[in-house]
Amino acid sequence: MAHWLHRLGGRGRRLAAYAAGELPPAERSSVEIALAACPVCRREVEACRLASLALRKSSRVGLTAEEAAAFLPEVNRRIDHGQVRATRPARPDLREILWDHPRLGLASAFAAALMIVGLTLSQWGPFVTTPGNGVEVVSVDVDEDGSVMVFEAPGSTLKVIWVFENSSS
Amino acid sequence: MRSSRASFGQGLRWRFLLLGIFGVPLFLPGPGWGQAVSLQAQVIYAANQSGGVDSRLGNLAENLQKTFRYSMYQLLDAPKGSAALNQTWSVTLPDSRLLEITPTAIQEGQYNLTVHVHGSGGKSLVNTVVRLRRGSTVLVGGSSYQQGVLIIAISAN
Repeated sequence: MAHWLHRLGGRGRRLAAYAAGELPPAERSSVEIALAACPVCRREVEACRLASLALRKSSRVGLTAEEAAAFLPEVNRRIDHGQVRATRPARPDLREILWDHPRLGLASAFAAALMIVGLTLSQWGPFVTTPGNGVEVVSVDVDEDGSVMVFEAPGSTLKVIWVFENSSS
Repeated sequence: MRSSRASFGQGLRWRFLLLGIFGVPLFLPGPGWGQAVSLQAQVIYAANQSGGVDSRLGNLAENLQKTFRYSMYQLLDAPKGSAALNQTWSVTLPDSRLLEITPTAIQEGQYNLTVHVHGSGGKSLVNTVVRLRRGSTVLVGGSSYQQGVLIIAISAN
């Protein structure tokens, strides 16, 4: 549980930095306290350390001039013939982005929720709550000779649209 | 080349998925689509003359007496009908006048109605848009009739 809270809190990168020895002393001690309570985090730190060691230990690859000249054309040839399968996309996929950046993930979820609410409300657009008697007069147009009054008598629950006709018309 | 194609394909899948999730509500029919509104118009003749209050007016009579100072209220007609969204329900009123009611938006319990009263000869007397809660009544009145006025009580269910 503590591990997931750490992941959500964006501590994954701090653990990696801790494993690489890149954290300042003050942060180191706070991470150590967190590690004491989180066995999964400890394993993660250990895995980071091992990976880092493995990378440091791996020998450098040296190519002869001929090999270097043939390398790129061979890669292109294999790609053109579909012999090499992409093990992962060139760009990180959405899940990876959201997982590595929990705040971005939360912001996206919030934006999506807002969008859904907005779209839903826009479907119900013309409605707002009607007043106490359940009647709202949105607009009134009368003949140019006439006039109109909208009122509600005290003690009555009725709303009235009263049209005054011009007596000459 | 292949890896960028695969990545492009995956990106496209995500975009279609998001478009599906957020785009579908845009194409859904709005609330009230296909519903019909039950409408009732009570055509009342009000005047200061003998005759009292028509008992057929029921609860409306009390409210009319609180609202106006006429001594006589007579129910001339009480047509009922229904109209779907953006369909017009027409009622002939005394003296060749015409009442047209068009529901323009429907949500559970609330209706937007366009109410149009035409005088004789098709002259527009009043054109109004009202928002009614289910069971509420709005009065449209003032048009002269005989010795008094016509009052139209409109309600929707």
